[in-house]
Amino acid sequence: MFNVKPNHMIKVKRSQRLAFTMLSLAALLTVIILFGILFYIMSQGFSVISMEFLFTEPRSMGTEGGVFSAILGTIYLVALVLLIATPVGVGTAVYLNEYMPAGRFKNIIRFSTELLAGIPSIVFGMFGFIFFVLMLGDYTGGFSILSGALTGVMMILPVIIRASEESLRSVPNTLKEASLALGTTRWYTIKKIVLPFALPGITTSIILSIGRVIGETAAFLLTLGGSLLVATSIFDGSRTLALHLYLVAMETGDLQMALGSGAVLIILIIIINFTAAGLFKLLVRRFST
Amino acid sequence: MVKLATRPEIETHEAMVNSATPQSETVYQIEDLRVAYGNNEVLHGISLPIRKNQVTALIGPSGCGKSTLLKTLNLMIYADENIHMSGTIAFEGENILREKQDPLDLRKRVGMVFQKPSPFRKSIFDNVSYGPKVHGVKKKDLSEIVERSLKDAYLFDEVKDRLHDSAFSLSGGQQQRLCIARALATSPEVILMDEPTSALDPKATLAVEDLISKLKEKYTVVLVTHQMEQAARVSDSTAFLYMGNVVEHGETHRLFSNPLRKQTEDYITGRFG
Repeated sequence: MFNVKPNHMIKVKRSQRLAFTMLSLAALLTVIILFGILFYIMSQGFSVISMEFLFTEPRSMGTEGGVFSAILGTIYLVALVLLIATPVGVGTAVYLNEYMPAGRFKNIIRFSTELLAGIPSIVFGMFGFIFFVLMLGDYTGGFSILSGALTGVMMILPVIIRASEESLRSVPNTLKEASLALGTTRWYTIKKIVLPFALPGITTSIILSIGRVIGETAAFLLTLGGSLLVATSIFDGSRTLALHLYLVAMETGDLQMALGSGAVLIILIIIINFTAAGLFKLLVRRFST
Repeated sequence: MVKLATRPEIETHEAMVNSATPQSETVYQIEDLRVAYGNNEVLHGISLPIRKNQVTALIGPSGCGKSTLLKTLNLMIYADENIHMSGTIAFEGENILREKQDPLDLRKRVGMVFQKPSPFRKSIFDNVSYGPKVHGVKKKDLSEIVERSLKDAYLFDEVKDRLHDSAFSLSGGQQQRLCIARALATSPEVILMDEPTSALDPKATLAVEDLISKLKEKYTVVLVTHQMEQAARVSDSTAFLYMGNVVEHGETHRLFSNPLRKQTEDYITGRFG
């Protein structure tokens, strides 16, 4: 037997209580900060929101009028980025995981992907500005949704590639072998067995990327151009809500209007995320069961 | 390398090969097959006939090369990296190891069943019709093929009312018979089985073994198993592999009751393995 000091258990329990209190306070603080910000922006911004605010174009650099063109700009940009990045990203992941033999070149591609993920967005913006806006201006329309989307694609590709690869790796080898042993090609096996199995993981990565595109300002400041007009094609300049918020707050100082955009931005993020999640859930149910 | 303990009355390998039941024609004729992963040779010149409408069992301790041998028979071994092969495997008289052999057509004619039941996350019907669909069978002919394959796997009566339920609604033993039905659906001539009952409970094992004995009426079966009793129960001829060599091959009953090699005797009496 061993001796225990008489007060020892009391001490242990006291330290447990202390730890519990601190940890729950930390958790509470996070919630308070989040709801504090949400409440402030919503309460301040909501007074600005009206049908006119939502459905008219900004005037006088955003101090008057609404945010219609920025809402459309955000949606166009997200759609175009996903349209390009999803096939390229998922395709790269499939190639790396299913076709490419292990070796140096594969390691180089993996390493490049990780590096790409670590580059600050303003650097992507700079590159996008020089390459897509200036050098390829004749083809991209200069400052345009296309230039912005191509820059956004570079930013989110690493996210999609890495997450897709992760979920492709989780597909059991036994299933692939069973399919190949029936005399199918590798591609048929990928289409019918591998991709449906990996679909949930891939869609999660795509939904995460949507958030990144909606929230990004630095890269799009240098490539979208910040036009106040409603874009009629992908070769037109535009602005996203996040960019609009930044430009209105910093260049006009009209914080009320900026907060209004912020409120719309938050609502839009919630709507787009839920829609995407719902769509993907349908897709998953259709293809992977 | 281990020197094989040869008994004086057996002179050559040929003598043992010929002791297999000779009346049936061969589907596979394997000659001097060598397989290496990188520099590590795992099969050291194997020669073995596989006879038609028989169950041939490959037995031997882990790592003896029986699974590798099985994988070469439908060229699934190509899925592994860094493979070197030499020798010949004549399938219906044609060497499948020659260059530019298309494994897809071969795999249609040689089905495979794996250790763990591996149904696709699809319905029972879609699992069985997966192979025929790939090979271009028209949609209207699929249900007939599915029914025939499930009947051949003795599963049809158990699932005929719920063909469109998920394959995962089946028990482990039923799932394995579904995988056998899936392999039968491409109308193969040969079924390769890699320890098909090792993940099953005794009752399901019995059902699958029962099925294997019936399959040989229409198909040729090559069965890898680590259970000697299973080989004794269901196979017609047995090959005992040890360290990448065929130590002995012959009619199953004879091999188990009167092994010609000392190593075979040691293995089947449980002295090693």
